[in-house]
Amino acid sequence: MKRYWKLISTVIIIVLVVGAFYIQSSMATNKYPEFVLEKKSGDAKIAQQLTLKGDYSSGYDIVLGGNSVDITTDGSTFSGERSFFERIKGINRDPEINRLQQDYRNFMRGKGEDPVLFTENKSILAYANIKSEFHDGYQRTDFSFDMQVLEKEKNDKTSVTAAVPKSELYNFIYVEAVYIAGGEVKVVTNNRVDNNGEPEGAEMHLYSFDLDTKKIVGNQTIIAGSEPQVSNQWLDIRVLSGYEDLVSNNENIAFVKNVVAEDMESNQSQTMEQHLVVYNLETNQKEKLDLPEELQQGYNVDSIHGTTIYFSKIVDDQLEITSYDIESKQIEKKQTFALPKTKGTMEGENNLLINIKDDKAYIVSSYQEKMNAITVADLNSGEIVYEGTIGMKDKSNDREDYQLYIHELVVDGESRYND
Amino acid sequence: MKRFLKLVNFEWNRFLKIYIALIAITILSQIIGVIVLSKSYLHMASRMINEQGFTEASFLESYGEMSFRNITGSLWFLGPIALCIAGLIFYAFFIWYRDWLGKNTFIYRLLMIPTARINVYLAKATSLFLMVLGLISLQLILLPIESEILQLMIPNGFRTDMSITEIIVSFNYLSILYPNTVIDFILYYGTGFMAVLVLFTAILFERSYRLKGILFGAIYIVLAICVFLLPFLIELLLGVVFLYPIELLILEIVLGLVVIAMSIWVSHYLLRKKIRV
Repeated sequence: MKRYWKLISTVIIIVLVVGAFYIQSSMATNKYPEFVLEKKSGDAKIAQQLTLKGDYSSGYDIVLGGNSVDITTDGSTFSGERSFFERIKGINRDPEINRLQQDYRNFMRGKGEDPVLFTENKSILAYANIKSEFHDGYQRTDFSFDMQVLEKEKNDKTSVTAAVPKSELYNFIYVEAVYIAGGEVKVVTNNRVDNNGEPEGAEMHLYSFDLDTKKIVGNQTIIAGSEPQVSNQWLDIRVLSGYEDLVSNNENIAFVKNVVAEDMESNQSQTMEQHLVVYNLETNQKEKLDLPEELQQGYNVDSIHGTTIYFSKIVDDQLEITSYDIESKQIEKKQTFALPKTKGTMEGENNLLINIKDDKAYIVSSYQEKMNAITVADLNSGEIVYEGTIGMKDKSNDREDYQLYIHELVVDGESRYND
Repeated sequence: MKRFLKLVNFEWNRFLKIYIALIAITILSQIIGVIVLSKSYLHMASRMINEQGFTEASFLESYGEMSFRNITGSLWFLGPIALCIAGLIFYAFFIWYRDWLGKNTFIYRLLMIPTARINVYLAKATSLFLMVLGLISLQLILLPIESEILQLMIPNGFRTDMSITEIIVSFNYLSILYPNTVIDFILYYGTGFMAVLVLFTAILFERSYRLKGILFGAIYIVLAICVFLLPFLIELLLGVVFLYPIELLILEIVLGLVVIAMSIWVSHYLLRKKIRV
């Protein structure tokens, strides 16, 4: 035993030093700040449905800076605080995707984790994406659909592949939404048109698939435009999401095309030339909306819920939310709410995260130095029903200088991102 | 088991002199480095402020504060680390080849010991692994000491203090050596141990078949890599991602164990049947 002393002492030192290091660093996770959603006024029950996801950055803090964090009324969880296995699983994913992966593990295998590619109803779960070939290493060609549909009861999977019609016209195609309606799977895509050197064009297409024949039975170009020639302007063309769940139950979907002009100095963007097209998924009819004069400029279109389209606009220090009914073609309501107090370098709409759900508007000041504020307003009554801020749970432990950038607001499982 | 421990102890003691030399060089170079760099910073500060007319504030604005980052980037700090890495890589080969040197080759006696010959292989691997762990422990001990020296030498307004975790996180090489969690540590160093075993097997191929053996050894290394990276190779060929992350992790652990078992088995065979003294 005496001859082994050098070896034994080395092993002991290694165990002690490495052990002490990891014990100390696991205790140091208590150094993570604890944020909490605090109520200033209003109904506390509303706040309990909220989870705010953000990025924490602090010039002084190298370890914690660059961490993402989830904040609720109970407290906060930093990505660094999660266990090894939680991080391997990837907790930042959409909660709907998590649920689908749990319930339909084999079907979801190998598919991207973007919720827009999926849709489901009581009996089926559908997935659609675009595949392409690489030509010359940089150009994409031969666009085709990769679609898979799972019949939940029988656990029966059907695959559909089909070439995108007139694929040679396009530079790039991506899926914006998938719906099930009228016995068909409908895929909304944003097709970037190759104009041979001219500014790129964009077409929003809706392709309908018949699951029995496995063929494309419909192809409509809903709305199209091209990138403006002016340097500080860009084309905004997309499908409006009602931010409903993955479950297909919307009858009407809306497409928007507008030109956004960005003022380089103030970082403000202004919507010009707003065009909206509504499409009924059951009847397959599309209709261009003739918006009243006032909604055509300066209003940000937000979302569509049922037959109501919501617009938002910042006027002075207030947020104006306008609801427009597509059936009556009238402006239904205009509500104005005081903006959450902001203190930071980014003012205006770029700083706000708005989520409209169940007739309530959830407004978060997104990019903030120490004072992210949340306002929840009832769109029926026009009243503010909740106001709150994000603060430290332990007031005495106030950190020096940090910024929280809230990029996502989840209301009871349904996310909304800051674009 | 007792034979195995005796062999480990034997291999350990053989290398001890050089090992202690590496440790001494590391300690001296890094500590002297901290002192030298701190002094030169203070020198520059005093020159700028007293001779060149900078105020304290403007000096700090132009030249910045001194922090441990200035140390980790310097040759005083990195030099010994590079030296130790090179030394250990060299010894990974030499730990075997030294036994074939000279007239009365020692390997003859090693292989004649009344014990399974695989213990020789395992003992060499274990002692090399312990050497690696010993050096990283040394660095962990040195970091707080060096940090303290820095704090003693540089006055308050001129320095930024960093905790050990911050130092490690902010520097690429250190964050590889000291991963974030214990589980990561076990996985990384376990993979390292597997790599050592694969290398040793290749060396044994060379010692068994000489010239042809180099080829066999190279083929074995490629084979081991392919087995270990099998899921990634399949994904590359088929172009499809098939496994959920946690499944991939479990599969990789299993494959790692397979490669370890494979290496031990092949080496055992070579040591018993094919080795040439």
